[in-house]
Amino acid sequence: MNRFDGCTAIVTGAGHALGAACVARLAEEGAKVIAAASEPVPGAIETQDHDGTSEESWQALIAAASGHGGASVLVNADVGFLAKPFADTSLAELRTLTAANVTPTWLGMRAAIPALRDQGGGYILNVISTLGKSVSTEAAIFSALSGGLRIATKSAALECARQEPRIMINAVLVGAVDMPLVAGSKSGPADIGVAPLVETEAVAAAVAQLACADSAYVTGMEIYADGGYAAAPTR
Amino acid sequence: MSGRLDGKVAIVTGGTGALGRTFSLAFAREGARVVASGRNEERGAETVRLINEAGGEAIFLPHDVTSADDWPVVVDHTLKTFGRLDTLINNAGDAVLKPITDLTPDDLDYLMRLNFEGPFLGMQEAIPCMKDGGAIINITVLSAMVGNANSTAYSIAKGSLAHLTRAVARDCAQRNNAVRVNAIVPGVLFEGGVISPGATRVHGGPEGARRFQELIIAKTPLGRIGEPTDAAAAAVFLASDDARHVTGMEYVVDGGRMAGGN
Repeated sequence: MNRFDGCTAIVTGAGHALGAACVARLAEEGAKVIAAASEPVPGAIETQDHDGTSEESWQALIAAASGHGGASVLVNADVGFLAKPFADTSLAELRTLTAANVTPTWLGMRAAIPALRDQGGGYILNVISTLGKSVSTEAAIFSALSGGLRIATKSAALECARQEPRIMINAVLVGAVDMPLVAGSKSGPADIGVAPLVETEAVAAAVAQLACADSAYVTGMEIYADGGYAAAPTR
Repeated sequence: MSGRLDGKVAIVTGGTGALGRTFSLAFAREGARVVASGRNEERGAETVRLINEAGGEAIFLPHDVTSADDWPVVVDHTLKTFGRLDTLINNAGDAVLKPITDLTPDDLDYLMRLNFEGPFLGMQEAIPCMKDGGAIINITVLSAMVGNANSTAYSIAKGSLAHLTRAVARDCAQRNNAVRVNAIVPGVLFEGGVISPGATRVHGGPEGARRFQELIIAKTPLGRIGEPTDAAAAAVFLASDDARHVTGMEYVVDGGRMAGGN
């Protein structure tokens, strides 16, 4: 397998299982991966501490990738989960969720687009929860922000599609996976039991599919790695 | 040869046409053994020859997908030849594009039999023979997701197939062998961006085909006609273990048209 030979990729959220699995898969297929994490990540050519809400931190990541040929792939796998119903969520918790999910992905796309264009185009892949399609009342604001990220992915895809060099921007929507908990969440996606359990390796496989030339004619699209949950949420 | 479909066996209906041949070749390249089925023996033999030439294993089987009698023969022959069945690509299909006022009941009947009944019969026959890791891939069309002019009957047939895909996905998720059922929704895909003779006919000749091509390029965010290999890459993924949690999904390969709702 060599779909990523000669390619440099940035993967965020690499300090947790989801991002780490993406690092491993892309590296296995030949990518030089810059991992955003506080501890070295297996498979990565370089690991860099990263604050996804800081523009300076994003510029530092892009610069790190430049030292390895320049990034042509960005995987935004930085997510944070809070299990809480709508009426119980405070404004502070909403902002924490926004900072954990929306800001890193949005800043990441914004920082990566010019950098990827410098490399002749490339691929951006956002990892989002399937609850962005089929809402969960157990994690109301997390669902809402995930839904917003789905649409933002499509908007960014349309913005970039008509401009040369082209950047394809897609999403993988995941079922219940091991993801970071924020705002003191007492439960993870698996605990609230609304979507089937999904292995992080399978998420990474879908990420790889959409981050390489196999998806040269695919943009603004979503792969649902969720055991069919979005197609039949009431199973 | 090590590939993402090593050890798997696939039936590709319409393995005689351009898209079916591309699926067949891509599957063989990734290590699958392929049954290319269809009505045109000469073109089927050519698909097999191309696969063999590339070092892959394949057979052609004569097959009318609208025939309830043909399906058991094709599936049995596959099992006897290759010992198993992992993937069925319901690729055979056709379009009739006319204003609703010009469509005849025969047009509707033809489109429903080929695009809907064929895959229905195929899934009924194939799913019970599949073990863990089995995958159905139905080929639909953007007109199955949104309305398009001159596509009423075609939309009904392909839209029904799209919804059947979701229903069977759910049905299969509850079975022991957990076969995954997905659709690929290709936009306009032609080898080298050149509209095929068959599609030129559908669009009323060379002038109609030229206008169609211009319209599609203008409507497509990525600004070009796609390649059959773009859909084949999606099919390889859906048939592989990489997609082990993916079912009931529409994998859109359309240069970004659906992202903007068109």
